[in-house]
Amino acid sequence: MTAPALDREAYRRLIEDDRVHGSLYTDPAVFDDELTRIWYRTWVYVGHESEIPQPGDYVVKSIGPQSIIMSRDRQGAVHLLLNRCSHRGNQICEAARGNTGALRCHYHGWTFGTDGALLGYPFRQGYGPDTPKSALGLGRVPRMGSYQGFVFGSFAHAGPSLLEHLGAAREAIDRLVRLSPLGRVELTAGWLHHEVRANWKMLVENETDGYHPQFVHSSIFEVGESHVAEVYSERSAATARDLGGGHTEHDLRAHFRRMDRPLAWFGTTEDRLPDYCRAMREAYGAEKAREILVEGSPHIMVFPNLFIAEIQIFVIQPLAVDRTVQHVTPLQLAGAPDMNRRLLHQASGSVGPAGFLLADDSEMYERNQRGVVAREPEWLILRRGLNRERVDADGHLAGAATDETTQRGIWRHIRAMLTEEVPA
Amino acid sequence: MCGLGEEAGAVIENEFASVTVVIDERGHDRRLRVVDNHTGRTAYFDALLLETLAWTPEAELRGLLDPARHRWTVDPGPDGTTR
Repeated sequence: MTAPALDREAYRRLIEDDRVHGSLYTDPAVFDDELTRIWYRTWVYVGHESEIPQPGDYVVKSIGPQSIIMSRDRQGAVHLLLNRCSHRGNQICEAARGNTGALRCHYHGWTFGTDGALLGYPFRQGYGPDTPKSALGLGRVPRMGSYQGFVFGSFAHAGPSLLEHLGAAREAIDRLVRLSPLGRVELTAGWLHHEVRANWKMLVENETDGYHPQFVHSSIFEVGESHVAEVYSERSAATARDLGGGHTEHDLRAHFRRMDRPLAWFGTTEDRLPDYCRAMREAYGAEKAREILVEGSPHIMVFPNLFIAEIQIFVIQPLAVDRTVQHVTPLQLAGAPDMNRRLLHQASGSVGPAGFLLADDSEMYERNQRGVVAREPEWLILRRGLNRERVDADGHLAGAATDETTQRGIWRHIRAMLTEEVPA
Repeated sequence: MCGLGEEAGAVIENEFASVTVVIDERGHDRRLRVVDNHTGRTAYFDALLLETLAWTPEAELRGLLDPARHRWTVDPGPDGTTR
C-alpha cells in the first residue's frame, strides 16, 4: 500500500534553510516519496568489487528495500540484478553470498546466468515457440558505475553520470584508497548488520554531526583515552563541509596536520606498524607517505547511503519510515596485513556486538524517532554555525567541526530532490 | 571441506545445488564420481571428459545449464513422475 504523495510545495514548506519539520521522519507518504524521488532515482552505493573477486562470485546487497544481486560473470564483468525470478516473483538468492555458474529459482526451476540472462525453464512444452526467452531475464539496475572499486547503481535510465554525482566526494575516496600501499581498499572482513527503529535520514545526518560525539560517545572516549573528543571540540581545527549533492564531510586533516604525527588519527604510532609504514614509504616515497599517514583517512557521508568513517565503511539501508539497517565492515587495505589486523580490532571495539560507538548512536537514533512524534514543537532546529559559516577556497560551504553546516547541506539536497528541482 | 580421495569425498555446494565429488580408482584409470546429494544420481567423469569440459566454450556450458536440456525435459506424467 503506497501512501499518497506530497506535492512539491509541501516539501518547500516542510524543509526550510535552518529547520525541518518532524513529520519528514515519521510520515509514510514522505518515505514513499523518498524511495521514488531519491532512492530509485539517484546513484546509490551497492557493494565493492573486492567482495566478488572470482568469476561466479555473488553477494546480495540492496538499494533501499530492493534486494540486489551483485555478481561477477565468468568473463569477469560485474552485474547488478534484481533478486526476483522473472517468472512468478520468487526471491532467487537466499544466501548472503556464494559462487555459482547460474542462478536457479527454487520455486519452478527457472535458471539464469550470472549476467541475468534466462538460460531456460523446466518442461518447455508448456510454453509456445513465441515465448520471448530473451526478454525474460532477471531485472537489472538500469545504470551501474564503479569508482575506486565502489560499485553504485541507479534506477534512473538517464541522468548525471556517476562521476558527476560523486562530484567533490571523489577526492575523499581517492584519499581513502591511497592509505593502501597498493592503492586499493578491500571490503573483505565480513559485515555486521545493525537494525534500528529510526528513519534513515537520522543516520545520514548523524554521520557528519560533530556536535554529538562529546555527549553520546563520552564513555568510549574515556575508556579508550581517545583523541577523538578533541577533534569534535570548539578547539578543533577540523572543518564541517557541505560538498554539494547531499555529500558532506568532516575534514579532519587540519587537526592532524597540527598534531604532525604519523598515524595519530588512528591512535597509534609508526613503531607499532613497521611493516605497513615501510610498505607505504616504498610505495609513495618517504615524504608523501608521511603526509598520507599524518592526514589520515576521510570522514565522509556520500549521499544517500555510503559512510566512509575513517576506519570502517557503513552502508545505510532504509526499510520503512521508521526502520533502517546499517551494514558495517572494517576497512581493509590491500598490501597491509599488520594494519588490517588493527583495523579489524578497532572495528570490533567500536561497532562490534560488544562495541560502544554504534550502540551509543543507535540508542540516539531510536530515542530521536520516539521524540519527533511529539506534537509540539513541530520543528527540528539546524541553526548551529550559521553565524560563522563561510565559503572555502573550493566554493563549498564550511563551518567549524561542531556546526550543522553538514545537516543543512543534506537537507538542501533532499529538498531539491523531493521537489525535483535537480536531476537524479 | 574434505580432501579428495576414495574414502572421503568433497562436498561442493552452493544454495542451488549440492554434489559429492570422489576420486574413483576402481577402473584402470582414475576418474571423478559425482553424486547429486539431493537425488543420488551419479555420474563419472574421466580425464578426457574433464579436459573436454575445460575446453567447452562458455556459450555451450550455458546451454547445458538450461534445466530442460537434459533433466526436466518432458512434462510430469499422470503419476507425477518426471525424468
